[in-house]
Amino acid sequence: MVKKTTKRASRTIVHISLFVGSAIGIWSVAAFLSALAQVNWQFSQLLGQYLVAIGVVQEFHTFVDFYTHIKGVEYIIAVMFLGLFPVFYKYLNTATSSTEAT
Amino acid sequence: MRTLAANGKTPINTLEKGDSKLMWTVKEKLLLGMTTQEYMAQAVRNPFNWLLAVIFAVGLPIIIGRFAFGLGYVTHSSYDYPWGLFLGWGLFVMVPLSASGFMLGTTVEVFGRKDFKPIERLALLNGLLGYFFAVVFLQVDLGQPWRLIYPMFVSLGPAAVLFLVAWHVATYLSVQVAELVPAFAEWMGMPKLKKFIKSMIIGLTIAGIILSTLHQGALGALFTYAPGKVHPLWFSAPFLWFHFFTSSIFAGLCMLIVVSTICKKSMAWRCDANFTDNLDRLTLGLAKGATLALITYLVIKIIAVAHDSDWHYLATGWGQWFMLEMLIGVILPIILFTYSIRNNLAGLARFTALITVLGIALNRLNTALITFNWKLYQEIPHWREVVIVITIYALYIVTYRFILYRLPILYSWKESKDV
Repeated sequence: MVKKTTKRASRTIVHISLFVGSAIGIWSVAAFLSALAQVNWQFSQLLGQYLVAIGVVQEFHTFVDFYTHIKGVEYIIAVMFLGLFPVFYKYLNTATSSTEAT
Repeated sequence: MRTLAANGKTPINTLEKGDSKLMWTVKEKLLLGMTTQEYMAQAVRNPFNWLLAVIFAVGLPIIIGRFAFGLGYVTHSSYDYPWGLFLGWGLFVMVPLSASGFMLGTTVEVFGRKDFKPIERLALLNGLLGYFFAVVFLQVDLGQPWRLIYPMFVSLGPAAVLFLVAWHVATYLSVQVAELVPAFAEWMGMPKLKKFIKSMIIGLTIAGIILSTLHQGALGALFTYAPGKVHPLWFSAPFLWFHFFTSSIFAGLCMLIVVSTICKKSMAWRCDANFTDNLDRLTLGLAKGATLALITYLVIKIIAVAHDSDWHYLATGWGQWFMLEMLIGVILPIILFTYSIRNNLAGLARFTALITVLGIALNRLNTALITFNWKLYQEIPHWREVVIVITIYALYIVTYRFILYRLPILYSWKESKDV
Protein backbone atom coordinates (compact mmCIF):
# COMPACT_ATOMS: atom_id res chain seq x y z
CA MET A 1 0.00 0.00 0.00
CA VAL A 2 2.80 2.37 1.03
CA LYS A 3 4.78 1.35 -2.05
CA LYS A 4 1.83 2.14 -4.35
CA THR A 5 1.38 5.62 -2.80
CA THR A 6 5.10 6.38 -3.12
CA LYS A 7 5.07 5.26 -6.77
CA ARG A 8 2.06 7.47 -7.54
CA ALA A 9 3.65 10.46 -5.78
CA SER A 10 6.93 10.07 -7.69
CA ARG A 11 5.01 9.80 -10.97
CA THR A 12 3.18 13.04 -10.14
CA ILE A 13 6.51 14.76 -9.41
CA VAL A 14 7.87 13.55 -12.75
CA HIS A 15 4.80 14.89 -14.56
CA ILE A 16 5.00 18.26 -12.80
CA SER A 17 8.73 18.49 -13.59
CA LEU A 18 8.10 17.64 -17.23
CA PHE A 19 5.35 20.27 -17.46
CA VAL A 20 7.41 23.02 -15.76
CA GLY A 21 10.51 22.08 -17.79
CA SER A 22 8.60 22.15 -21.07
CA ALA A 23 6.99 25.48 -20.19
CA ILE A 24 10.39 27.03 -19.33
CA GLY A 25 11.90 25.50 -22.46
CA ILE A 26 9.17 26.86 -24.75
CA TRP A 27 9.38 30.27 -23.06
CA SER A 28 13.22 30.32 -23.43
CA VAL A 29 13.11 29.39 -27.11
CA ALA A 30 10.36 31.96 -27.77
CA ALA A 31 12.29 34.66 -25.89
CA PHE A 32 15.51 33.80 -27.73
CA LEU A 33 13.85 33.81 -31.14
CA SER A 34 12.00 37.08 -30.50
CA ALA A 35 15.23 38.71 -29.27
CA LEU A 36 16.98 37.45 -32.38
CA ALA A 37 14.16 38.82 -34.57
CA GLN A 38 14.53 42.25 -32.91
CA VAL A 39 18.19 42.46 -33.96
CA ASN A 40 17.43 41.36 -37.51
CA TRP A 41 18.59 37.77 -36.86
CA GLN A 42 22.19 38.83 -36.18
CA PHE A 43 23.57 36.47 -33.55
CA SER A 44 26.68 38.60 -32.91
CA GLN A 45 24.51 41.64 -32.22
CA LEU A 46 22.36 39.73 -29.75
CA LEU A 47 25.41 38.25 -28.02
CA GLY A 48 27.00 41.71 -27.75
CA GLN A 49 23.85 43.18 -26.20
CA TYR A 50 23.59 40.24 -23.81
CA LEU A 51 27.21 40.63 -22.66
CA VAL A 52 26.59 44.33 -21.99
CA ALA A 53 23.30 43.60 -20.20
CA ILE A 54 24.85 41.12 -17.77
CA GLY A 55 27.78 43.47 -17.09
CA VAL A 56 30.59 41.36 -18.52
CA VAL A 57 31.30 44.02 -21.14
CA GLN A 58 31.46 47.51 -19.63
CA GLU A 59 33.71 50.53 -19.40
CA PHE A 60 36.15 50.82 -16.53
CA HIS A 61 37.44 54.14 -15.26
CA THR A 62 40.25 52.96 -13.03
CA PHE A 63 42.75 50.14 -13.18
CA VAL A 64 41.49 48.87 -9.81
CA ASP A 65 37.93 48.65 -11.20
CA PHE A 66 39.19 46.67 -14.18
CA TYR A 67 41.33 44.37 -12.08
CA THR A 68 38.58 43.74 -9.53
CA HIS A 69 36.18 42.89 -12.33
CA ILE A 70 38.37 40.44 -14.25
CA LYS A 71 39.61 38.76 -11.07
CA GLY A 72 36.03 38.42 -9.81
CA VAL A 73 34.89 36.72 -13.04
CA GLU A 74 37.98 34.48 -13.06
CA TYR A 75 37.42 33.37 -9.46
CA ILE A 76 33.77 32.56 -10.16
CA ILE A 77 34.79 30.37 -13.15
CA ALA A 78 37.61 28.71 -11.17
CA VAL A 79 35.41 27.92 -8.15
CA MET A 80 32.65 26.58 -10.42
CA PHE A 81 35.19 24.32 -12.10
CA LEU A 82 36.51 23.12 -8.74
CA GLY A 83 32.99 21.99 -7.91
CA LEU A 84 32.15 20.72 -11.38
CA PHE A 85 35.28 18.65 -12.04
CA PRO A 86 34.80 16.00 -9.30
CA VAL A 87 31.12 15.65 -10.25
CA PHE A 88 32.04 15.24 -13.93
CA TYR A 89 34.82 12.79 -13.03
CA LYS A 90 32.36 10.65 -11.08
CA TYR A 91 29.79 10.85 -13.87
CA LEU A 92 32.39 9.82 -16.44
CA ASN A 93 33.48 6.84 -14.37
CA THR A 94 29.97 5.56 -13.75
CA ALA A 95 28.83 3.15 -16.42
CA THR A 96 25.17 3.19 -17.47
CA SER A 97 22.95 0.33 -16.30
CA SER A 98 22.93 -1.17 -19.81
CA THR A 99 26.75 -1.21 -19.88
CA GLU A 100 26.94 -2.78 -16.43
CA ALA A 101 24.63 -5.58 -17.53
CA THR A 102 26.88 -6.58 -20.46
CA MET B 1 50.87 -8.17 -47.70
CA ARG B 2 47.30 -8.64 -46.49
CA THR B 3 46.69 -10.97 -49.46
CA LEU B 4 49.84 -12.97 -48.71
CA ALA B 5 48.92 -13.22 -45.02
CA ALA B 6 45.45 -14.46 -46.04
CA ASN B 7 47.17 -17.13 -48.19
CA GLY B 8 49.07 -18.49 -45.21
CA LYS B 9 52.29 -16.42 -45.38
CA THR B 10 53.35 -15.75 -41.78
CA PRO B 11 54.92 -12.35 -41.15
CA ILE B 12 58.30 -12.45 -39.40
CA ASN B 13 57.93 -12.24 -35.62
CA THR B 14 60.95 -14.19 -34.39
CA LEU B 15 64.67 -14.48 -35.07
CA GLU B 16 64.51 -18.05 -36.37
CA LYS B 17 62.93 -19.44 -39.52
CA GLY B 18 60.14 -21.79 -38.50
CA ASP B 19 61.35 -24.66 -36.33
CA SER B 20 64.85 -24.66 -37.82
CA LYS B 21 67.88 -23.10 -36.21
CA LEU B 22 68.45 -20.90 -39.26
CA MET B 23 68.24 -17.19 -38.53
CA TRP B 24 66.51 -14.59 -40.71
CA THR B 25 69.03 -12.31 -42.40
CA VAL B 26 68.61 -8.52 -42.20
CA LYS B 27 67.69 -8.46 -45.91
CA GLU B 28 65.01 -11.10 -45.38
CA LYS B 29 63.67 -9.18 -42.40
CA LEU B 30 63.59 -5.96 -44.43
CA LEU B 31 61.71 -7.76 -47.21
CA LEU B 32 59.30 -9.22 -44.63
CA GLY B 33 60.41 -12.77 -45.39
CA MET B 34 59.61 -12.49 -49.10
CA THR B 35 61.82 -12.70 -52.15
CA THR B 36 62.63 -9.42 -53.90
CA GLN B 37 60.19 -10.29 -56.71
CA GLU B 38 57.40 -11.14 -54.25
CA TYR B 39 58.05 -7.93 -52.34
CA MET B 40 57.97 -5.78 -55.48
CA ALA B 41 54.83 -7.54 -56.72
CA GLN B 42 52.92 -6.87 -53.49
CA ALA B 43 54.14 -3.24 -53.49
CA VAL B 44 52.86 -2.70 -57.04
CA ARG B 45 49.53 -4.38 -56.22
CA ASN B 46 48.79 -1.84 -53.48
CA PRO B 47 46.85 1.14 -54.96
CA PHE B 48 47.93 3.38 -52.07
CA ASN B 49 51.53 3.05 -53.30
CA TRP B 50 50.48 4.43 -56.69
CA LEU B 51 48.99 7.47 -54.99
CA LEU B 52 52.23 7.94 -53.05
CA ALA B 53 54.24 7.59 -56.27
CA VAL B 54 52.22 10.41 -57.89
CA ILE B 55 52.69 12.64 -54.82
CA PHE B 56 56.47 12.05 -54.81
CA ALA B 57 56.75 12.54 -58.57
CA VAL B 58 55.18 15.99 -58.24
CA GLY B 59 56.54 16.98 -54.82
CA LEU B 60 60.19 15.95 -54.82
CA PRO B 61 61.24 18.21 -57.74
CA ILE B 62 59.52 21.13 -55.98
CA ILE B 63 61.41 20.36 -52.75
CA ILE B 64 64.66 20.33 -54.73
CA GLY B 65 63.55 23.66 -56.28
CA ARG B 66 63.04 25.12 -52.80
CA PHE B 67 66.66 24.36 -51.83
CA ALA B 68 67.99 25.46 -55.23
CA PHE B 69 66.04 28.70 -55.72
CA GLY B 70 65.22 29.69 -52.14
CA LEU B 71 62.11 30.15 -50.04
CA GLY B 72 60.58 32.70 -52.42
CA TYR B 73 60.16 29.94 -55.02
CA VAL B 74 57.67 28.04 -52.85
CA THR B 75 56.13 30.42 -50.31
CA HIS B 76 54.58 33.87 -49.94
CA SER B 77 56.67 34.51 -46.83
CA SER B 78 57.33 38.13 -45.98
CA TYR B 79 58.16 40.31 -42.97
CA ASP B 80 54.41 40.37 -42.25
CA TYR B 81 54.10 36.59 -42.49
CA PRO B 82 57.39 35.03 -41.36
CA TRP B 83 55.96 31.51 -41.47
CA GLY B 84 53.41 29.63 -43.49
CA LEU B 85 52.24 26.04 -43.70
CA PHE B 86 55.70 24.53 -43.06
CA LEU B 87 55.63 25.74 -39.48
CA GLY B 88 51.88 26.31 -39.16
CA TRP B 89 51.14 22.68 -40.04
CA GLY B 90 54.50 20.93 -39.78
CA LEU B 91 55.56 22.24 -36.40
CA PHE B 92 52.57 23.71 -34.55
CA VAL B 93 50.14 20.92 -35.54
CA MET B 94 52.45 17.90 -35.61
CA VAL B 95 54.12 18.54 -32.25
CA PRO B 96 50.94 18.44 -30.09
CA LEU B 97 49.72 15.39 -32.03
CA SER B 98 52.99 13.70 -31.04
CA ALA B 99 52.48 14.14 -27.30
CA SER B 100 51.34 10.51 -27.14
CA GLY B 101 54.94 9.38 -26.47
CA PHE B 102 55.40 11.03 -23.11
CA MET B 103 51.73 10.49 -22.16
CA LEU B 104 51.84 6.71 -22.54
CA GLY B 105 55.45 6.48 -21.29
CA THR B 106 54.28 8.14 -18.08
CA THR B 107 51.13 6.02 -17.86
CA VAL B 108 52.95 2.70 -18.19
CA GLU B 109 56.40 3.28 -16.72
CA VAL B 110 55.70 5.84 -13.97
CA PHE B 111 52.06 5.28 -13.01
CA GLY B 112 52.44 1.52 -13.43
CA ARG B 113 49.39 1.09 -15.67
CA LYS B 114 50.77 -2.02 -17.37
CA ASP B 115 47.33 -2.65 -18.93
CA PHE B 116 48.25 0.08 -21.47
CA LYS B 117 51.42 -1.82 -22.48
CA PRO B 118 50.00 -3.17 -25.79
CA ILE B 119 49.73 0.37 -27.18
CA GLU B 120 52.78 1.94 -25.50
CA ARG B 121 55.24 1.35 -28.34
CA LEU B 122 52.81 2.72 -30.92
CA ALA B 123 52.50 5.86 -28.78
CA LEU B 124 56.29 6.19 -28.57
CA LEU B 125 56.68 5.71 -32.33
CA ASN B 126 53.92 8.24 -33.02
CA GLY B 127 55.77 10.71 -30.79
CA LEU B 128 59.17 10.04 -32.35
CA LEU B 129 58.02 10.34 -35.97
CA GLY B 130 55.86 13.38 -35.28
CA TYR B 131 58.80 15.23 -33.76
CA PHE B 132 61.25 14.03 -36.37
CA PHE B 133 59.08 15.22 -39.24
CA ALA B 134 58.39 18.50 -37.43
CA VAL B 135 62.17 18.99 -37.63
CA VAL B 136 62.09 18.01 -41.33
CA PHE B 137 59.40 20.65 -41.95
CA LEU B 138 61.51 23.14 -40.02
CA GLN B 139 64.50 22.29 -42.20
CA VAL B 140 62.54 22.85 -45.39
CA ASP B 141 61.48 26.22 -43.99
CA LEU B 142 64.93 27.27 -42.74
CA GLY B 143 67.11 25.77 -45.46
CA GLN B 144 70.84 25.12 -44.96
CA PRO B 145 70.40 21.86 -43.01
CA TRP B 146 74.08 21.81 -42.07
CA ARG B 147 73.37 24.76 -39.78
CA LEU B 148 70.84 22.79 -37.71
CA ILE B 149 73.14 22.80 -34.69
CA TYR B 150 73.66 26.60 -34.78
CA PRO B 151 70.96 27.56 -32.24
CA MET B 152 72.32 24.95 -29.83
CA PHE B 153 76.08 25.30 -30.11
CA VAL B 154 77.12 28.27 -32.23
CA SER B 155 74.65 31.18 -31.93
CA LEU B 156 73.59 30.73 -28.34
CA GLY B 157 70.56 32.68 -27.14
CA PRO B 158 69.74 31.28 -23.71
CA ALA B 159 67.12 33.98 -23.04
CA ALA B 160 65.15 33.10 -26.19
CA VAL B 161 62.16 30.76 -26.32
CA LEU B 162 63.47 29.37 -29.63
CA PHE B 163 66.72 28.35 -27.90
CA LEU B 164 64.61 26.41 -25.40
CA VAL B 165 62.51 24.81 -28.15
CA ALA B 166 65.60 23.80 -30.18
CA TRP B 167 67.31 22.16 -27.21
CA HIS B 168 64.14 20.46 -25.99
CA VAL B 169 63.19 19.03 -29.38
CA ALA B 170 66.75 17.77 -29.97
CA THR B 171 67.11 16.13 -26.57
CA TYR B 172 63.56 14.80 -26.54
CA LEU B 173 64.08 13.23 -29.97
CA SER B 174 67.14 11.45 -28.58
CA VAL B 175 65.13 10.27 -25.58
CA GLN B 176 62.36 8.91 -27.85
CA VAL B 177 64.87 7.11 -30.05
CA ALA B 178 66.32 5.50 -26.92
CA GLU B 179 62.83 4.53 -25.70
CA LEU B 180 62.23 2.66 -28.97
CA VAL B 181 65.63 0.96 -29.00
CA PRO B 182 64.21 -2.15 -27.22
CA ALA B 183 61.93 -2.80 -30.23
CA PHE B 184 64.88 -2.42 -32.61
CA ALA B 185 67.09 -4.61 -30.38
CA GLU B 186 64.49 -7.40 -30.40
CA TRP B 187 64.22 -7.21 -34.19
CA MET B 188 68.00 -7.27 -34.65
CA GLY B 189 68.57 -9.92 -31.97
CA MET B 190 70.60 -7.77 -29.58
CA PRO B 191 69.38 -8.75 -26.09
CA LYS B 192 72.20 -6.93 -24.28
CA LEU B 193 71.28 -3.62 -25.90
CA LYS B 194 67.65 -4.13 -24.90
CA LYS B 195 68.66 -4.96 -21.33
CA PHE B 196 70.87 -1.88 -21.16
CA ILE B 197 68.09 0.48 -22.32
CA LYS B 198 65.51 -1.25 -20.10
CA SER B 199 67.78 -0.60 -17.10
CA MET B 200 67.43 3.16 -17.57
CA ILE B 201 63.87 3.33 -18.90
CA ILE B 202 62.52 5.18 -15.83
CA GLY B 203 65.20 7.86 -16.23
CA LEU B 204 64.40 8.21 -19.92
CA THR B 205 60.67 8.45 -19.23
CA ILE B 206 61.14 11.15 -16.60
CA ALA B 207 63.48 13.06 -18.93
CA GLY B 208 60.78 12.76 -21.60
CA ILE B 209 58.12 14.16 -19.24
CA ILE B 210 60.27 17.16 -18.27
CA LEU B 211 61.36 17.97 -21.82
CA SER B 212 58.02 17.58 -23.55
CA THR B 213 56.05 19.36 -20.82
CA LEU B 214 58.38 22.32 -21.13
CA HIS B 215 58.55 22.58 -24.89
CA GLN B 216 54.83 21.96 -25.58
CA GLY B 217 54.26 25.05 -23.45
CA ALA B 218 57.25 26.84 -24.98
CA LEU B 219 55.67 26.59 -28.44
CA GLY B 220 52.74 28.60 -27.07
CA ALA B 221 55.06 31.01 -25.28
CA LEU B 222 56.70 31.62 -28.65
CA PHE B 223 53.72 33.77 -29.63
CA THR B 224 54.43 36.23 -26.84
CA TYR B 225 57.06 37.51 -29.30
CA ALA B 226 54.18 38.81 -31.42
CA PRO B 227 51.71 40.56 -29.10
CA GLY B 228 49.04 42.32 -31.10
CA LYS B 229 49.60 40.20 -34.19
CA VAL B 230 47.61 37.15 -33.07
CA HIS B 231 43.91 37.82 -32.45
CA PRO B 232 43.27 38.40 -28.70
CA LEU B 233 40.86 35.44 -28.49
CA TRP B 234 43.75 33.12 -29.45
CA PHE B 235 46.46 35.11 -27.69
CA SER B 236 46.87 35.41 -23.95
CA ALA B 237 50.33 36.26 -22.67
CA PRO B 238 49.94 34.58 -19.27
CA PHE B 239 47.89 31.59 -20.43
CA LEU B 240 48.99 30.71 -23.98
CA TRP B 241 51.76 28.35 -22.88
CA PHE B 242 49.21 26.61 -20.64
CA HIS B 243 46.69 26.30 -23.50
CA PHE B 244 49.33 24.68 -25.70
CA PHE B 245 50.41 22.28 -22.98
CA THR B 246 46.90 21.23 -21.88
CA SER B 247 45.67 20.80 -25.43
CA SER B 248 48.70 18.67 -26.31
CA ILE B 249 47.52 16.11 -23.73
CA PHE B 250 44.22 15.33 -25.45
CA ALA B 251 45.74 15.93 -28.90
CA GLY B 252 48.36 13.21 -28.32
CA LEU B 253 45.84 10.76 -26.86
CA CYS B 254 43.34 11.33 -29.68
CA MET B 255 46.03 11.01 -32.36
CA LEU B 256 46.98 7.67 -30.80
CA ILE B 257 43.35 6.51 -31.03
CA VAL B 258 43.24 7.58 -34.70
CA VAL B 259 46.56 5.91 -35.57
CA SER B 260 45.69 2.68 -33.75
CA THR B 261 42.37 2.57 -35.63
CA ILE B 262 44.16 3.01 -38.98
CA CYS B 263 46.59 0.23 -38.00
CA LYS B 264 43.77 -2.11 -37.03
CA LYS B 265 41.91 -1.46 -40.29
CA SER B 266 44.80 -1.32 -42.76
CA MET B 267 47.42 -3.71 -41.34
CA ALA B 268 45.48 -6.26 -39.33
CA TRP B 269 47.95 -8.94 -40.52
CA ARG B 270 50.72 -7.21 -38.54
CA CYS B 271 48.72 -6.80 -35.30
CA ASP B 272 48.76 -9.65 -32.82
CA ALA B 273 45.88 -10.74 -30.60
CA ASN B 274 47.33 -8.84 -27.62
CA PHE B 275 46.88 -5.60 -29.61
CA THR B 276 43.57 -6.23 -31.38
CA ASP B 277 41.79 -7.88 -28.45
CA ASN B 278 42.67 -5.03 -26.10
CA LEU B 279 42.16 -2.15 -28.52
CA ASP B 280 38.54 -1.31 -27.66
CA ARG B 281 39.32 -1.21 -23.94
CA LEU B 282 42.46 0.87 -24.54
CA THR B 283 40.59 3.26 -26.85
CA LEU B 284 38.01 3.98 -24.15
CA GLY B 285 40.77 4.37 -21.55
CA LEU B 286 42.58 6.90 -23.74
CA ALA B 287 39.26 8.64 -24.45
CA LYS B 288 38.68 9.02 -20.72
CA GLY B 289 42.03 10.75 -20.27
CA ALA B 290 41.34 12.96 -23.28
CA THR B 291 37.92 13.98 -21.92
CA LEU B 292 39.35 15.13 -18.59
CA ALA B 293 42.04 17.11 -20.42
CA LEU B 294 39.43 18.61 -22.77
CA ILE B 295 37.23 19.94 -19.97
CA THR B 296 40.27 21.40 -18.20
CA TYR B 297 41.38 23.07 -21.43
CA LEU B 298 37.88 24.50 -22.01
CA VAL B 299 37.84 26.11 -18.57
CA ILE B 300 41.35 27.56 -18.97
CA LYS B 301 40.35 29.00 -22.34
CA ILE B 302 37.34 30.72 -20.76
CA ILE B 303 39.50 31.98 -17.87
CA ALA B 304 41.94 33.47 -20.41
CA VAL B 305 39.08 35.34 -22.11
CA ALA B 306 37.95 36.59 -18.69
CA HIS B 307 41.48 37.53 -17.63
CA ASP B 308 42.06 39.74 -20.67
CA SER B 309 38.41 40.88 -20.67
CA ASP B 310 38.06 39.85 -24.30
CA TRP B 311 34.33 39.15 -24.08
CA HIS B 312 33.40 41.90 -26.54
CA TYR B 313 35.38 40.12 -29.28
CA LEU B 314 32.92 37.22 -29.05
CA ALA B 315 30.29 39.42 -30.67
CA THR B 316 32.41 39.83 -33.82
CA GLY B 317 33.04 37.59 -36.83
CA TRP B 318 36.33 36.42 -35.30
CA GLY B 319 34.40 35.64 -32.12
CA GLN B 320 32.01 33.40 -34.04
CA TRP B 321 34.98 31.62 -35.62
CA PHE B 322 36.46 31.18 -32.13
CA MET B 323 33.18 29.81 -30.77
CA LEU B 324 32.86 27.43 -33.74
CA GLU B 325 36.37 26.13 -33.05
CA MET B 326 35.52 25.61 -29.37
CA LEU B 327 32.17 24.03 -30.20
CA ILE B 328 33.45 21.52 -32.76
CA GLY B 329 36.94 20.95 -31.38
CA VAL B 330 36.25 20.93 -27.63
CA ILE B 331 32.60 20.92 -26.47
CA LEU B 332 31.29 18.37 -29.00
CA PRO B 333 34.16 15.94 -28.25
CA ILE B 334 33.50 16.26 -24.49
CA ILE B 335 29.83 15.30 -25.03
CA LEU B 336 30.55 12.47 -27.50
CA PHE B 337 33.47 11.04 -25.51
CA THR B 338 31.40 11.07 -22.30
CA TYR B 339 28.54 9.26 -24.04
CA SER B 340 30.88 6.71 -25.64
CA ILE B 341 32.73 5.99 -22.38
CA ARG B 342 29.56 5.58 -20.31
CA ASN B 343 27.99 3.33 -22.95
CA ASN B 344 31.15 1.43 -23.89
CA LEU B 345 31.07 2.57 -27.55
CA ALA B 346 34.64 2.33 -28.85
CA GLY B 347 33.55 3.16 -32.42
CA LEU B 348 32.04 6.48 -31.35
CA ALA B 349 35.17 7.24 -29.31
CA ARG B 350 37.26 6.71 -32.47
CA PHE B 351 35.09 9.06 -34.50
CA THR B 352 35.27 11.65 -31.70
CA ALA B 353 39.06 11.32 -31.56
CA LEU B 354 39.20 12.19 -35.26
CA ILE B 355 37.05 15.30 -34.68
CA THR B 356 39.32 16.30 -31.79
CA VAL B 357 42.47 15.89 -33.90
CA LEU B 358 40.93 18.10 -36.60
CA GLY B 359 39.87 20.56 -33.90
CA ILE B 360 43.37 20.87 -32.48
CA ALA B 361 44.79 21.25 -36.00
CA LEU B 362 42.33 24.10 -36.58
CA ASN B 363 43.34 25.71 -33.29
CA ARG B 364 47.03 25.67 -34.15
CA LEU B 365 46.42 26.90 -37.69
CA ASN B 366 44.21 29.65 -36.28
CA THR B 367 46.92 30.74 -33.85
CA ALA B 368 49.87 30.48 -36.24
CA LEU B 369 48.31 31.46 -39.55
CA ILE B 370 44.63 32.34 -39.85
CA THR B 371 44.31 34.92 -37.06
CA PHE B 372 47.95 35.99 -37.38
CA ASN B 373 47.99 39.62 -38.55
CA TRP B 374 44.23 39.76 -38.12
CA LYS B 375 44.33 43.54 -38.57
CA LEU B 376 46.27 43.28 -41.84
CA TYR B 377 45.63 41.10 -44.87
CA GLN B 378 45.15 37.34 -45.03
CA GLU B 379 47.99 35.29 -46.46
CA ILE B 380 47.04 32.52 -48.86
CA PRO B 381 49.79 29.86 -49.04
CA HIS B 382 51.58 29.36 -52.38
CA TRP B 383 50.45 26.18 -54.21
CA ARG B 384 54.03 24.85 -54.16
CA GLU B 385 54.02 25.22 -50.36
CA VAL B 386 50.87 23.08 -50.18
CA VAL B 387 52.45 20.45 -52.47
CA ILE B 388 55.60 20.30 -50.30
CA VAL B 389 53.51 19.86 -47.15
CA ILE B 390 51.56 17.00 -48.77
CA THR B 391 54.82 15.41 -50.00
CA ILE B 392 56.54 15.52 -46.62
CA TYR B 393 53.39 14.23 -44.93
CA ALA B 394 53.35 11.35 -47.45
CA LEU B 395 57.00 10.66 -46.56
CA TYR B 396 55.95 10.62 -42.89
CA ILE B 397 53.26 8.02 -43.69
CA VAL B 398 55.70 5.87 -45.69
CA THR B 399 58.25 5.93 -42.85
CA TYR B 400 55.54 5.16 -40.30
CA ARG B 401 54.33 2.18 -42.38
CA PHE B 402 57.88 0.93 -43.02
CA ILE B 403 58.61 0.74 -39.29
CA LEU B 404 55.21 -0.69 -38.31
CA TYR B 405 55.54 -3.49 -40.89
CA ARG B 406 58.84 -4.58 -39.41
CA LEU B 407 59.60 -3.66 -35.80
CA PRO B 408 57.59 -5.24 -32.97
CA ILE B 409 55.30 -2.27 -32.37
CA LEU B 410 51.88 -3.78 -33.05
CA TYR B 411 52.91 -7.31 -32.13
CA SER B 412 55.07 -9.03 -29.53
CA TRP B 413 58.42 -10.43 -30.64
CA LYS B 414 58.76 -14.14 -29.93
CA GLU B 415 61.99 -14.58 -28.03
CA SER B 416 64.33 -17.36 -29.17
CA LYS B 417 65.07 -20.01 -26.56
CA ASP B 418 68.83 -19.52 -27.05
CA VAL B 419 68.68 -15.76 -26.41
